[in-house]
Amino acid sequence: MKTRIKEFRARHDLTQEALAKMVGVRRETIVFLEKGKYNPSLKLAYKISRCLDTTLNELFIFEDSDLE
Amino acid sequence: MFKGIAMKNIENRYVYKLALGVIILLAGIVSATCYKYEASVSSFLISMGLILFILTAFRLFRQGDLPDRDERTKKLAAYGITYSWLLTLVLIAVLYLANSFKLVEFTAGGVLGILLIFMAISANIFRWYFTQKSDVE
Repeated sequence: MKTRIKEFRARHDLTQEALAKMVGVRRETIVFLEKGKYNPSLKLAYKISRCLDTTLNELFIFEDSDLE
Repeated sequence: MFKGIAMKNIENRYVYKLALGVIILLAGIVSATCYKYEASVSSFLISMGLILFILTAFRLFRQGDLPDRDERTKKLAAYGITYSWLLTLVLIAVLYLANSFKLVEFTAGGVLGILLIFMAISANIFRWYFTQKSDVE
């Protein structure tokens, strides 16, 4: 799974720590999310998309290989 | 809104842990006063209470604005405990077979001690391993 969190975070001029604070997670979780190494819960994904003023579809990119 | 709820949960958790540490510590002191012949139980309770209180106070002091646990760390810890439990099941089978074939003679206290230490250590090792991997599927 790929994410565009880093891109949207930069648009809003937010640091990883600031975003982590906004959604109530550790900074490392944001790091792993941006690297696509962690699959978040739907609740966390929704919180992040709301903080970044976007939708889940815009923020998270699923490919067919991710579903295998 | 999200931040407020998350921080409130964090604060409550620390308060409960601090209170639990104090209760265990007091129980140890009462035990030492009333049951002088059970010194090991008293010292165990006092040590546990002190450790819990000091560690929680230390975490509360250094936490800053970000939580020290979130859904990822909780998930990894849960997987660590699950794998530890499964490995302990294997260890119990090995101990049982070793005892059945008279390879080793165990006392009940010895087995409980082995399992207690093994579960605590293996759970932490698995959690550390999953943390290095960043996620589990």
